[in-house]
Amino acid sequence: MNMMASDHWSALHRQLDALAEQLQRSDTQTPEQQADALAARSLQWAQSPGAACDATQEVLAFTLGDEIYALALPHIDAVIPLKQLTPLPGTPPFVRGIVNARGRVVSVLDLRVLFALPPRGLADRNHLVILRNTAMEFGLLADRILGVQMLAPNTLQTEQAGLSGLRRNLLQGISPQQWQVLDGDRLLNEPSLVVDDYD
Amino acid sequence: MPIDRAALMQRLMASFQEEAAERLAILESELLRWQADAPEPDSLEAVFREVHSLKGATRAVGLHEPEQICHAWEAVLQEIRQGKRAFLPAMVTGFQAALQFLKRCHAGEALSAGQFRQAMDLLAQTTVAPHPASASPIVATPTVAAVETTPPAPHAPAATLAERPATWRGQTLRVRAEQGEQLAYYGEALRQHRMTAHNLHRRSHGLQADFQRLWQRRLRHEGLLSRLRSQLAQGQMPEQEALRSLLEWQDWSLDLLATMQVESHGLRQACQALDRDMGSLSEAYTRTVDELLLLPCRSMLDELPAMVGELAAQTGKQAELLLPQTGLQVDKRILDALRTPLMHLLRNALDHGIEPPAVRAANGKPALGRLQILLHQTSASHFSLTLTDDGGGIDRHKLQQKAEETGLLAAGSPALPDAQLLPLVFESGITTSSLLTTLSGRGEGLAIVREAMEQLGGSISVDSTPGQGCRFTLQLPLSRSTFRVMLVRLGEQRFAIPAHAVGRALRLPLTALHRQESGDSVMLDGLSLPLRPLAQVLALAPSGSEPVMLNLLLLGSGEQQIALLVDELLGDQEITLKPLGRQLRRVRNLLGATVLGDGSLVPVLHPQDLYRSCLQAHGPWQARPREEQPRRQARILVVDDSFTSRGLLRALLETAGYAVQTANDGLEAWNTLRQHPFDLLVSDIEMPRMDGFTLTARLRADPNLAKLPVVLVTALHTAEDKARGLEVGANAYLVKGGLETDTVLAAVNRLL
Repeated sequence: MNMMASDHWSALHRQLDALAEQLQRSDTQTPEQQADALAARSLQWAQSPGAACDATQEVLAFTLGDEIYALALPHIDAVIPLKQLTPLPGTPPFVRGIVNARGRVVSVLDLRVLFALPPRGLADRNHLVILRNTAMEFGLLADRILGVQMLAPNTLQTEQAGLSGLRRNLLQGISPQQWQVLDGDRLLNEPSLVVDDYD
Repeated sequence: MPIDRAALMQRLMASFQEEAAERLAILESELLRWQADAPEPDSLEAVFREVHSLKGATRAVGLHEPEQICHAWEAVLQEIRQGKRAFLPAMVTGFQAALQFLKRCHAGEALSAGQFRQAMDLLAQTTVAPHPASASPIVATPTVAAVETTPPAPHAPAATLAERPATWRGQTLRVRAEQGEQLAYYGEALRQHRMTAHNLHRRSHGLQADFQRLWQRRLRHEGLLSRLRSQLAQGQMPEQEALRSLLEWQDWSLDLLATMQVESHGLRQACQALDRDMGSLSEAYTRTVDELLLLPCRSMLDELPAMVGELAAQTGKQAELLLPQTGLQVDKRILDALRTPLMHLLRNALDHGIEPPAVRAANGKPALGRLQILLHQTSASHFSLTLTDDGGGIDRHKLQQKAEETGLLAAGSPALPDAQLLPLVFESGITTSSLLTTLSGRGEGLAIVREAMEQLGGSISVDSTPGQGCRFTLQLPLSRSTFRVMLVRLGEQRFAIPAHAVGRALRLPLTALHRQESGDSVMLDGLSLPLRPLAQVLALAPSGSEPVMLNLLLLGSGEQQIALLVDELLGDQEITLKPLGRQLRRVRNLLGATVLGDGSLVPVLHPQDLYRSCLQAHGPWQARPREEQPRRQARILVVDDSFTSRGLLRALLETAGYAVQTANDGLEAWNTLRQHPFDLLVSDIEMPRMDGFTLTARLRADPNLAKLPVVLVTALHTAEDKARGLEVGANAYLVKGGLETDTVLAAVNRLL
């Protein structure tokens, strides 16, 4: 108890000392130094629009087995209920089949197979999150859709021990609430996901 | 200011490009009909109008030479139109020259002054014969020297014909006024149906509300009901009031139910009508759009000769391409998809087929190599395109050697006959050219061509005479929508196989299966065909059920056939092929997918891949071990007084591999049976002279024939008849109404 109280006190003293030092310094700054500082600050603020966009992003969160995944909205074309999945012979195991999504044939991928996760948790795959850009389109299996949330990328933990290969490549990071935030761009551009059996 | 002028010019050029494309297409299709006879007045008018408008357009954008061509052409047409000059078939050459010049200008080619003069001369010649005096002054136009040809779009430098992407400019369609009206009419009908659907939605909503009222009333009476129940349980007299409101409720419910019944009936009828109307509308609409998308084949072919000349020059060879005079019209989507494969084939012919001039001279051929395209409509739904060249043909020895090197054939195989050897050129990795040139030769070209043909629901074959050339024949549907497939079932899944790849679909008894060390096979038409379960070829889990019959699809032809075993044949159907999506660019054994009428997606299998996979799938078929069947063909006597039934049974049993003889009635059968040995009798019951019961009874009484298995097939099906049939000694009793091939064959199989 005493120990902690004294820790707090010493921290406060250090902060006060630092402030006093700063005040001292600002008094001794020449006008040029002040102008430089202001200019530097203006520059920093001038860059803020880009930084602000990065500051938060809207993500769709969904569950799959034991895990919760999140994906930035701009990459998502649609979320549809999954019915009538047609399995295909001869595809890699992560391709679960194809569905008819508004007249287009869209392939269905299973992240759990892709990330080689053990089959655990409730299997209740009843949604499809469709990712799309000009060159690529596929659907990701999802159990439950949790909704759209704001997420700040700078709060993501990007280095995580024990992640390997594809998974590390395709994850943007882990959010504070332990969501696995997927990198939509990399998912859509990952060459190993494309099936092209040309011989 | 100059920047604005440039921007204006650019916009002007863009709209000119589009307009010219349209007008040139019209001129082209009209001129085609002028070849044979004098043009109809309508056609003449149309051409005159187009040429005149084109002249105006070229002047607007400052294309002098095309303008002059148009002007000269217009002048000739004007004279014909006014009757000052008679139409001569020879004139068409000049008109064609003018058209070709304009088309090439439009395509952005830089044309020399010589080419311009040539076109002008040809046009001028049309006026020479009857009126030599009026030789137009245009011929000597001095501006020719200043070669200021078509300024192509500023950003597009002179791309050569061969390099341009596989689309052609001016992607416009000609829509006849009736077609436009037709489409507008469909739009109206669709809006009408939409209103009907909206109304239906409203009515079904009302029906649902009525149900809601029923339920609510029921809930409201919950108290009343429980009161009555307890009164009854305690043996009390129920309250009058409660009973009255119960009855009132009952009447109310009945009224409401009656209304609801009428409404639901009406709804069902309205839905049915809407379903029917929408069905016919969607079909009519598809038909009109398909018609709309028909384009003359020439629209794609016309730019090929120039490309051939250019490519030949690159390889130091000389070649010309001859095109057919044809008015054949083909779906634009097919033509679009055909262009790239056709370029591949032409490149291939120039690169590997046509020899250098020196070699040709040594072989006594003219230096100018000749490629020819022929078009021919082969049926209501298909056409063929043949491309012949008079080059060296395919070197069989080299091809076989190459096939052995790449592992397609076992090393040291005996020389294959042409029918088996030549198709190998379509395998990837095969090229008989030892050089990799810039044009072709990486050994992928023909494999890609075949792939493209199959995507379109067509096929390709090759034929070659050593030293004299090579012929590729492409079979293609006229329209995108005609794609027939066989549907089959494997376990819980359905698959479609392009019908053109399936030689036959048939059912054989299990006895037709021969199991050997090297793999299973079936005997058919004297050939032993390898048999592969489709499930195994596709690496699917084998279905648990044991087959009663072998449901087979034959792939390939002649001795190259393979029998594919499936669980069930579901018949054939017209489909539209869809790609598998962007992530699945190509999956082995799959061509695409299709949506069936019930909305389900079904994978469409890839015939060539299947064939290859079959050759790789060697494992034995996991079938239940059966006691060895006698190899001798079983003999069956079929007795029926109806010619049709007799024929049906005969066909059925013969297909299943039995030797069948027939008799018209019981007596004839009795006599036949005593003279010849049979293994089984299939007999009708009601017959003149001697019926089936009597015949069976007689057989059972005869010491030699008592053991003969008898299957009675009949229209009688009372329990007594059945009992009687079994009483007289029949082994099986089948009712004709259910004369399903399965039951008869199953019974016969069981008894033999």
